[in-house]
Amino acid sequence: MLQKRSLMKVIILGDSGVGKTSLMNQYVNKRFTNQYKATIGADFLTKEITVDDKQVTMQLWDTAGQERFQSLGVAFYRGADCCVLVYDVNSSKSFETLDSWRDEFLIQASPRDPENFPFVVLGNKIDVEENKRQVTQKRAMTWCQSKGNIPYFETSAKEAINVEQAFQTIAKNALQQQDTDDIYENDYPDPITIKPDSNPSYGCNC
Amino acid sequence: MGTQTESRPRKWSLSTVSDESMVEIKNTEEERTPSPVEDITEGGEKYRLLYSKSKVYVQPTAYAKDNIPGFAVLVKREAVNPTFYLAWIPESLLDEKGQSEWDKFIKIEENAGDYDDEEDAVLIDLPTRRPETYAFSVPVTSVYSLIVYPPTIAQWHGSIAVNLISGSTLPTLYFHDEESRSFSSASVSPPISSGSSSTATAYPPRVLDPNGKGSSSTSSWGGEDLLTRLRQYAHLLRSNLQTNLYLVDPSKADIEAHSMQLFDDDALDDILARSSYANSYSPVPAHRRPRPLSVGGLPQGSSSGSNNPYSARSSVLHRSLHPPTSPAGSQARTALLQSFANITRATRHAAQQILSHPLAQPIVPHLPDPVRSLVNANGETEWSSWVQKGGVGEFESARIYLARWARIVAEEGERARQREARVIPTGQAAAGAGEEEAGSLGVFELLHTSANLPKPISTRDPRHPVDEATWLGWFHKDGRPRVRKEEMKKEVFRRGVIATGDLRKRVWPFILGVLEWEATDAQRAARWEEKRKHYHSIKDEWCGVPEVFNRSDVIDERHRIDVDCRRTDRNQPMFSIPTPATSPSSSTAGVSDEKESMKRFSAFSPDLNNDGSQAPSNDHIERLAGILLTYNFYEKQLGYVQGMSDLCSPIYIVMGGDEEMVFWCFVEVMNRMKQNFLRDQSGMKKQLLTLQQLISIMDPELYRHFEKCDGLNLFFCFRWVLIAFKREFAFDDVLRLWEVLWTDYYSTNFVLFVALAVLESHRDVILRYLIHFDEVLKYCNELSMTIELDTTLAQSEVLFLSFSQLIADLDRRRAEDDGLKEAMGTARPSSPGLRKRTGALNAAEDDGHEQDAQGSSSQPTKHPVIDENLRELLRN
Ligand SMILES: Nc1nc2c(ncn2[C@@H]2O[C@H](COP(=O)(O)OP(=O)(O)OP(=O)(O)O)[C@@H](O)[C@H]2O)c(=O)[nH]1
Ligand SMILES: [Mg+2]
Repeated sequence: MLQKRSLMKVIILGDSGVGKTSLMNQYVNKRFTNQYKATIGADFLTKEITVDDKQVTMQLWDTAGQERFQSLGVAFYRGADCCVLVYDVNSSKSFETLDSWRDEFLIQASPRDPENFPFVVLGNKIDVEENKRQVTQKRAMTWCQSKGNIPYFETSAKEAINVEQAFQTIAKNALQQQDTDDIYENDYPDPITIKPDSNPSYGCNC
Repeated sequence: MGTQTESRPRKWSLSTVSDESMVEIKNTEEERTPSPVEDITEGGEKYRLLYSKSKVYVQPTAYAKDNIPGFAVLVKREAVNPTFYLAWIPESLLDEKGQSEWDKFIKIEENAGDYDDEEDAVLIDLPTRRPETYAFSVPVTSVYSLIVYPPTIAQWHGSIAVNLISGSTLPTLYFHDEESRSFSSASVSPPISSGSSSTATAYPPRVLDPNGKGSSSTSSWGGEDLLTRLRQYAHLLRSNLQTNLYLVDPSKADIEAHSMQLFDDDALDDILARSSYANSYSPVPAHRRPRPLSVGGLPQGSSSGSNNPYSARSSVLHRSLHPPTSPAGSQARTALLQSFANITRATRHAAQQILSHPLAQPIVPHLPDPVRSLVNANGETEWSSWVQKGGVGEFESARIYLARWARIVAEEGERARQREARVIPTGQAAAGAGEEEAGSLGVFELLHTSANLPKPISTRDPRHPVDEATWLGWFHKDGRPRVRKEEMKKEVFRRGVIATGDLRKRVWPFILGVLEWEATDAQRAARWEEKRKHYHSIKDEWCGVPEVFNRSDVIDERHRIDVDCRRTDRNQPMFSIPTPATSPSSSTAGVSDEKESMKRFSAFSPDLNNDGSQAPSNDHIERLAGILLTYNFYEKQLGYVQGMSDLCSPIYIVMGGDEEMVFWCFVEVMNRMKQNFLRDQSGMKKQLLTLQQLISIMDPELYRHFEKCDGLNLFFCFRWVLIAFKREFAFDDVLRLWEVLWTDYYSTNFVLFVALAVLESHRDVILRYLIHFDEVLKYCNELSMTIELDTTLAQSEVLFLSFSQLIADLDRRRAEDDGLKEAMGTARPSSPGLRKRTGALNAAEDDGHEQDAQGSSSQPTKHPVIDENLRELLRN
C-alpha cells in the first residue's frame, strides 16, 4: 500500500478572515468550529488521498492573511504544485485583493511557467444569507476566466458545501503540475513517476 | 548496548544466525523448558547458585522504611536439559535458614565468574513465589521482557522490572549498589533489617575489585551486571522501539519488530556524544536526555573527523538522513517508506505489549486517539485503520509522529522518576525541586568546567508567588514604596504574582510602568487622571466622529480588528458567548461614562455584526476592539496587525475590562514589542536573526542541523516570538509568563531565551528525527499546550546566565590576548593553556572558516565574534 506515493504541496491564500483555516480543517478533519484563531506564522495539514488510483499525500499550507506577513511567504511558497485563492462572497474587499494575492504568489514562488501554473479560486461562506452577498457568481467567474480559466468553486466551510469537490480539483491540478515539472526536470528527486492526468476539469463545478 | 557477542555456555546448544545488525538465536524445541512458575517445587530439589547480587530491594511502597533488601540470583537446575532461573530472595528468608545459607550467597557474589567450577558448586533451595515476602523464582524461559532503568541523577537507584510471558509483572528490583558487596568494599554485615537511606557521597560507586574477576568490574551499576550475566543463559534483545525494554529470548516476530533498524542502537549516543561531550557546548538539560550522564568520567575528546553526524550509519533512517541531493537520497526515501510500512504491520503486537504494560499507563492519555485505541485492541483492524486515516504511512508525518512519541515517552518516564524521587525521603529528595533543577542542568557543568566558569543555577521559586501580604508590605501607608523598584521586579521575576484574587490587576500597572513606583498614592491618582483623560482624547478622534469612523481606511482597520477580536480567547468567560451585557467591574474612577462608552461601542463594526459570516461578538469583544482601534490613533505608524488582539486580550481580562487601564498597559506592552509588528517585518527579522546567533553560540550542533534542514530562518519560532508565546501556553500560564518577561529583570529580550530553552529541551528529538524544514515547523507548532512553563523558565534563566558568563569570559580572554599581543609585539602567543581553551571555544565559530583564514598575524588567537545583536541581549 505504500508504493506510488507522492507529496504534493498546495498553498492557500486570501485575506484574513475569509476562512482559509476553516476550509482546510473542513477538508482534512471534517469539522468546523468558529473557535479557530487568526493564523499566525504558518502551519500545514496533510491528507492522504487517492487521485486516479494514485496514492498522494497532500500538504496544505495555511499562512496568515495579513499582507504584512507575506514577506514570510517565500519560505513556504517554494515548490508549490497548486495555489488556492480564497475570498469571502460577503466581502467585495476580499475579492478585490485576489489579484494581488495571485501576483504576490507568482513573484515569490516563481514557478517555471507562471502562465500555466494551476490556481483554484474558492468563494467561501455561501451559507450566509443571500442578501449579505457582495460578490456575484458571475463577477467571480468572469475574473477567473480572464486569468486563464481558473477553476472556480463556491464553498461553505461551515456547512461543508463543495469543499470535497473543490479539493479534488485542487489535487488533480496539482498532480498535473507535478507531471509537467517531471517532464521539465529529469533529475526530479522523487522516484515515483505519475502519468499525466488525462482529463483535467476546468470551469465551474457548482 | 551492543548486540551479543560473548560466547555461550557449552551446555546451552544454540544455533546462531548473525548478520551485521543482530544475532538471532534459535533454540531447538526440546531444549526449551516452558515450565510455568507454578511448577517449581521446593521438594528437595537442589539448585546451583550461579550468580548473586546483594542489596537488591523490592520497594513495596514509596517509603524507604518499607524497602525489603534481598538477593537477585541466577540459579541452574541440573538436568540433561538444565533450566535456568531468575530469582529474588529476601534477606529475611535467609535469616530463617541461618548464617550458612547467607554465606553461600556472599561467596558466590564475591566469586563472580567462577561459575563453571564443578567442585565449588553451591547448592541452595529455591523459594516458591510467595506474595507476602515478594520472593520469586521463575525460569528464564518464562520471562518475556525486562524493563531497565539505569540510575540517573534524579533516580538514585537503577531498577529492573520483570515481565513474564503469562502477562504478569514481578516486583521491580532496585539495585542499591552503594550498599552492595560487589560494588563497595564495605563489608556486608549479614542481616541488615531495613533499607537504610543512602549515605554514599560519590555516585555511582566505583568498582573496587581491581582483579576484574567478575563481570561486575565492567558494569556501571548492579542491574547492568545482572544483565551481562543473564546474557550467558538467554538471548537479550534491546528493543529499538523502546530502549529500556529488553526482550528475553524473543520470538522471531518480536525480533523483527524490535530490532527494526530505524535507528542504530547507538545512533543517539553517538549524536549525544558529539553534542554534549565533544563540543561541550550543548546545554541539553540532563532530564531531557534519554540516558544518564556517562559516569566513567568524560569520554575522550572529539574524535570526529567528519562533520556529518549521520555518516557511516547503517539504519534506514540514517541512510535517509543524507541530504536529499545525494544520489542515495531517493532510494533511501523509498526504503524509509517501506520500513514504516513494516513497522506499522510488525509492531502492532509490540505496541500493544508496550502500551498495555503498567509502566506505559501514564503515557497512554497523551497519545493520539488512534494510537490509544491500540491499548487492549485485539485485531488488525484498528491498527490498519489508524495507518489509513492517520496518514502515518506517509514518511514526513510518520517522522513527526515518532518524534512526538519519543518526546512523550522520555518526558513521562522522567516525570515518573522525579515523582518517585520526590516521595522517597532521602536527604537528596528533601532538598526539593531546586536541587533537582540544578542537577538536571548537567551539561552546563561541562560547558562551564570546560571554560572554567561556575555553574549557573536558576533562582526561580514559582511555588511561592508574591501574595497580598508581601505586596502590601512593600508600601508605606501613603503608598510610597518601602523597597526599590528593582527589588520588586526581582521578586516578581523569581516568584510571579499569586493568581487568586485580583493582585495581578494591581501589580501589572507597576511592572509595566503605567503607574509610577516612586510616588505616593495621591500622586499616582493625579497622574492617572491625566492618563485617563488622555486616553479619551485619543479615542474621541474616532469615537462619535462619523467622518473618521467611516473613512475607508478606518473601515478596513475596523474590519481587521473586529475579525480578529471575534477569534481571540473565546473560551475566556468574558469573551465567550453568550455573555450577558454585564458592566465590567471597573474599580477606578470613570464609571460614570461607562454607559456612554458601551453605547458607542455597540456599533463598532455594524456591517459585520449580524451577517453570520464571522463568529458573533459581544460587548467585551467590542470594547477590546475599541481599545485596539484607539491604539491605532495613538501609534499611527503601525496600524492594526494580527497578533495585537492576542497581546491585548489577557490584559483586558486581568484588568477586568477597565478600558483606560487596559489601554495604557497595552501601550506599555507594545512599547516593548512593537518592533515585531513593523510593516516591513524588519523587527521580526532581527529577532529571529538574534535567536539564530544565540543558537549558533549556545548550541552549534543544533545550528548546523537547522542549516541542513533549510531552517535557519527559524520561522518555526515566529509565532513564539511575535506574540510572546501567547499561543503556546494555556491562558493562566501566559499570564505567569508575561509578568516574568515584563520585569526585564535580566534582559529586555528574555523571550529569546525562553525560545532557546524550548528548542533545547527538544533538541535531541529534533536532531534525531526531523530533517526537513516542514517537519520542524510542524513539530514546533504542535508543541503548543505541551510545554511545562516553570521548567522552561528555569532553563531560560540558566541559559541566560550561561550566555552572559560566556560573553564575559570571551571578552576577558580577548583582553588577555590583546595584552599578550602588546607584550610580544606581533608574534603569536605560545601559551599552550590559552591556545587550548581557545580551541574549545572555536566550536562556537562557523566551521566553514579556517582558523588561519583571516590572517594569523593580526590576531594571535581567534575568538568568536559577538555580534552587537547578541550583546543587546545582555541589556535590561
Ligand atoms: N458562516 C461562515 N463562517 C465561516 C466560514 N468559514 C469561516 N468562517 C468564519 O470566518 C472566521 C474566519 O475564519 P478563519 O478560517 O479563521 O479565516 P482565515 O482565512 O484562516 O483567517 P486568517 O488566519 O486570519 O488569515 C471565523 O469566525 C470562522 O468561523 C463559512 O463557510 N461560513
Ligand atoms: Mg487562518
